[in-house]
Parts: sequence; structure tokens; C-alpha cells
Amino acid sequence: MAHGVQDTGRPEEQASAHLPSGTDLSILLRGVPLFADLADPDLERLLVGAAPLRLDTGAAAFHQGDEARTFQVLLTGRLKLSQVTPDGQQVTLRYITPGEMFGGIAALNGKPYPASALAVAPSLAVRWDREVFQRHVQEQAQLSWKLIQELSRRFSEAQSRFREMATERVERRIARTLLRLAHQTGRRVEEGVLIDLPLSRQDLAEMIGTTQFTVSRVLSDWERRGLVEAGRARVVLRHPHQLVLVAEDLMAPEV
Amino acid sequence: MDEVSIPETMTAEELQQRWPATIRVLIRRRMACVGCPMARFDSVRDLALNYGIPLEDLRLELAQAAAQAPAGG
Repeated sequence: MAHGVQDTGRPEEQASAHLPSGTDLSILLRGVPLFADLADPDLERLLVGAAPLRLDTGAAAFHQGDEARTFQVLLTGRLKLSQVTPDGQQVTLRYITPGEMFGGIAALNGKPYPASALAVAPSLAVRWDREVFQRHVQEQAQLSWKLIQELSRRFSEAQSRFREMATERVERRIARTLLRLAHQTGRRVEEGVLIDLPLSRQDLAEMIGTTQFTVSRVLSDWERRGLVEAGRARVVLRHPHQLVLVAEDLMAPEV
Repeated sequence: MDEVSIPETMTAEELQQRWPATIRVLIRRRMACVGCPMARFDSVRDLALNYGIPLEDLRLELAQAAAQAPAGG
């Protein structure tokens, strides 16, 4: 596989080959919101069965339809969760940033993965076998509470996106998507707020549920008005406040 | 009552976390900062520019609100 996981062999085998010392991993796990409030002994216990997974750009952590046997959290890098519909259309469900769990809902339900997780930058994740993680959750009340909070957050995000798809004009949906990505991955740069993610117009179209043509038309208009700077794979929000006005359908003064 | 000074470089997110009482000012002035995804990027100076409010007026108004209530976490 030209752009597979590093090393040869199945991901399960290469993961254990890269297992760093327990201290390294516990420091990384401490930075994960899901685990941040755990007492030290609980975090130590969590290291049982934790295995790192390194992914080159383009490599898959798992594929849609695979049996969900592991629960994982991203530590560094960026992943794209995408799904292919029965009629062959590709949909980007969300981007995963460091500290976020992924593939967890399928693993918790014992269902096949509903989407594929592909690295869009060199990435490092940690994962547990489903049964091992389930045992951790059952033994640690604080962990299960944090997990419920995270699942609630994802659920309400999904509800918001459903409402947007059902009711809102495409300009608002594009603005909201850019703001969401900027909130998740953004970085202040001289020209504005950079969405720190390789992001093409096709990626945006797949997230928003519209065509690449429409995304290009709207972005060109916004570029003319000085709201954004949209390169081939780089988007800078030059005037975030104006985009908020578009997203919230507030009266936008002419720029 | 303690004197409060609002740094113009403070982000809207930090402002609301440090002095929750300033949220009243943001709402009263019909600013979209509460729950805004860009609150972590835009500073108090940006807010003044975005809403066309003289910076010193806004800082004073926020400081007065902040001084009337204890700071948050």
C-alpha cells in the first residue's frame, strides 16, 4: 500500500511495535479533555491496553464497514471522517482534531464503522480494544461521565447540522461550516484567522451537502468583498465578524 | 469596589470567562459575542471596530460591569 500506515504488517501489529514508555503516553493522555480530570491512579490504569497508532497522510485508521473493534483518541495531526453513500456520493462528516475521540460511537455500540477515518496530516492516535475500554468505563465513574458529555456535544452538533441542512440557505451553511472549522482548528495569523487544515472546495462541498460549483461561487463572492482568502487548499477568514453576520443572518453592512 | 481595567487585546472569550458580568453589556449592545465561535479570536479592540463603538467607551462600560460583580474562574 503506497500510502498506508508506517511499517509493514497490520496496524495492530505495528502499533505495539511503537509503544512508547508509559510516562510518555500518560502525558499525552493528560492533554485529552476526556481524560483531563481523571485522578493520577485512574489515568495510570487507563494505560492498560492503550496502544499508539501512527498514520501517514492518506493512511486510514479504519474503513467504512470494518468491524469496530477499537476505541481511539487522536493525539496529534488531523483526520477526516468520510462516508460513501449507497449511490456512491462521498460525504465528509467531520474533521477530527487532537484530543477528540473517533470511531468511538461504533465501538461502543458494537456496530461496523459507518465512515472511514483518513489522516490528512501525519497523525498519532491511541487506541484500546473495545472490551478493554468498556472495562475502563465501567470501572471509572468520572470517565463515563466525561464520555457522556462528549457524546452529548457530538449529538447536539449533529442536530445543529441537520437543522442547517433542512432550513438554511447555502451561504449561511458555508459560513457556519467555516466558522465551525475555524473554532475547531483556527489560528490567528496576520491576515485573519487561518483554518489549519488542508481544505479544498470539494472538501467543503462534501461537508455542506452542496456542489463544488456553488462553494466556488460563494467563496469568490466573499473574496471580492474581503471576507475570506480562499487558496486551493487554504482558507483564511479575513473578516470573521462579517462571516458571523452571514451565518447568523444578521444585517451585514456592505464591506 | 476594586478598579478593573479591560485590556484591549483580551479576547471576547477570555473577557466573558474572567468577568461573566460583562456578558450583560454584550447582550445589551446586541453584540453576537455570547456563544460566538469567533470569540476566542476577536479582541476587545476588534469588537469595538466591528460594532462601531469607540474603544475607550466600550472598555469603560465593560470595566464598570466587571467591577460590580466578582470575577469568574
